[in-house]
Amino acid sequence: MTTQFFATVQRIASNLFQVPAGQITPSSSPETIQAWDSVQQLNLVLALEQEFDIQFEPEELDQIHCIGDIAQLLEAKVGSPS
Amino acid sequence: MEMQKQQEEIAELITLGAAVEANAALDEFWRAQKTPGAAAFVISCYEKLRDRLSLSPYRLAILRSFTVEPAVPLLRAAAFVNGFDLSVHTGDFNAYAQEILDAGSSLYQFKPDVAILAVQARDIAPELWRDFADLESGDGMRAAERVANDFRGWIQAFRKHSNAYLVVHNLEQPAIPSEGLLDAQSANGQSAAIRRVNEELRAIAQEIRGTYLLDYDALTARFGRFAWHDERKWLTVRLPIAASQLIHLADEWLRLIRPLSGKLAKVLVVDLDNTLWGGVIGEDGMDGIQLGLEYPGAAYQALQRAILDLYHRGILLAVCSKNNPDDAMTALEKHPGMLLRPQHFAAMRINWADKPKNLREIAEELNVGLDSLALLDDNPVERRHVRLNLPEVALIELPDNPMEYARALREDPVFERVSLSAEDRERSKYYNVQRERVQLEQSCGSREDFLRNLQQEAQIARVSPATLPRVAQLTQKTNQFNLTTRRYSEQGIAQMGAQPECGVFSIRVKDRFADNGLVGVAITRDKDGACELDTFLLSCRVIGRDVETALLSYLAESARARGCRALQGWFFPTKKNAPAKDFYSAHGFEIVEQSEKGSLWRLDLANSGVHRPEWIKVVAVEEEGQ
Repeated sequence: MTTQFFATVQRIASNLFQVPAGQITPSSSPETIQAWDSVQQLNLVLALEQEFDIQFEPEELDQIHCIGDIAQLLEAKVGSPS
Repeated sequence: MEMQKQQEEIAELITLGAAVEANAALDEFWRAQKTPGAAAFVISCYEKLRDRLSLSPYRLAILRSFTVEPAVPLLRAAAFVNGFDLSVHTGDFNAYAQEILDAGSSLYQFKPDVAILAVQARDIAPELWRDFADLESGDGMRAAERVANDFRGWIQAFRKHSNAYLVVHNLEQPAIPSEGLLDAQSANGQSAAIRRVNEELRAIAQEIRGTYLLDYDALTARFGRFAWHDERKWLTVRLPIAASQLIHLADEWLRLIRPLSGKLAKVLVVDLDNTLWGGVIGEDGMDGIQLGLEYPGAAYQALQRAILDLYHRGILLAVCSKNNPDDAMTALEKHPGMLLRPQHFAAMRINWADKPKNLREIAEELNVGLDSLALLDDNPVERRHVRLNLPEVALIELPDNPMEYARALREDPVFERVSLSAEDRERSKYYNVQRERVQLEQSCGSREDFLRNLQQEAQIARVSPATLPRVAQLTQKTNQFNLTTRRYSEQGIAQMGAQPECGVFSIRVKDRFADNGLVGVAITRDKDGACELDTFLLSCRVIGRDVETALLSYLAESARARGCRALQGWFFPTKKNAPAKDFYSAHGFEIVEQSEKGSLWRLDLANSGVHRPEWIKVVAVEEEGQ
């Protein structure tokens, strides 16, 4: 299931950060993606909240350091789609 | 995956250089998903297309007390799709007061066309929000006065330093007042205090030119206060608005930016079958079409009511329908469920011809540009056909369900305006009177006969506070008979009006049929012994009746009386102002300079003048009221 969440995160991040989807890997982070600043991180969170119709808790947002963290968080939060 | 594919197709169109097609595809793409990701994609596409589309550049400054950054890309994407290339300056977090008060701040250096002041009650007036329960009775109203005075000070300071339009968010009501049910019972409660601030704001906006309100309270209520807010984001990143609602804020900003920038649709062109009524009149007949007080006909009547509201706002209506004219006219004239009747329509094209051809003819008949038209048609295939062939025409996107038609039309921003002149309200009537004039013209033997018979009287006056909005509006939207096409804001006009070397004149024309209202503007500037026409324009309503000659002769006479030796002016050709092309040469002016942008014409006042047409009575009015 993680791969499915990863694909969605990858698609949205690719659009937001304007980098080809192929360059976004689970280890991509603000250190490796130039456009990923605090405003873009907020945009990414908002986009995912809209996409999955969820709300992240502040504590959950603190755990986000790379794309892989986000995919894992989504899996824990949204679980396996039926 | 669908989205991925669409994005690839759009990228392909851009690579191929098919700008119009890419623009249409981006419009559809954006309407389908207004998300942050889609916004980033749309913006990146338009940055490549920018040079190949005629987008209007516009500069917006946002002054705020909360996080607005995530709304900005949504706004810019929506603006691009609406034909604007919007540059946005976002003021520092909570620094709005310093930025407004400091004449050298980045706000003023940015030189915005419009600034938005977006502050919330909880930031500027915690005592009206979180701490209201601490107040003694009566202190709420005093706090409201204090807040209104703060606003007044900021708005005055802004006006002192800038000519840009200013849009001010009013204050929203709390979802649940601090005193609960008691609040509604009290004349001095929390909601009453916030209402007081908002009433004061409205008065301030009326008083200080170029200031308009964004009804933020109504906006949050429209989408639901609980749904609007996101407490988590507010407490962590000072973003009070939920992710799903940010687009509504961006859309509302754009709703104001459109009319402030002068982008106004003037004509609503409607289809008939399955738009004004359910069914097809040619097949279902008078008894078969759905239209009336009961479901399903009620949905179409609700749409007609929404159209009628636009008519009363001065929007012209026209019909463009593939039908047998007899069938359609019978329904328009006689169907008991119709709220709209033939006299509401300024033009009609009921035939089997191609829609773009009919739309072109309607624009020509009503003397407006294609970009003044908006089309309401239930058929997506027709809409697409028009979008690709006449990209200037605005399209009202209709949902599939007719019960949602009325709301879709009311929500669409194309007919929004921030002020309404007397001329706007009366516009539809002018077109009816115009038909009578055409009949007179046909019955008269010569043009001169017709003009004598019209009994025109022109009143020429210097601009006054009462006429300022209409004068600015005319400079904003007159495209055809306009020699220089210089656009001015109300503030800009007021400034020129106050300069001794400038004259800002308006002309109002009456004839035997009607008062045409304020239909022309001339702005003159004296320098080095010559009087230069900065602006000379006439509404298409009175073109061809020698009104322009009457105005010019008045300006020539008064320039001569002031001691000017020459009257001169530039003609800057545009795509639309061909009707004004021969104006100077026809009145004896000679070319004295030519540049890439246009030609400078001069009339020597010592040896010649402008003959005033004897069939127009000219009256110079000292101070005009409305």
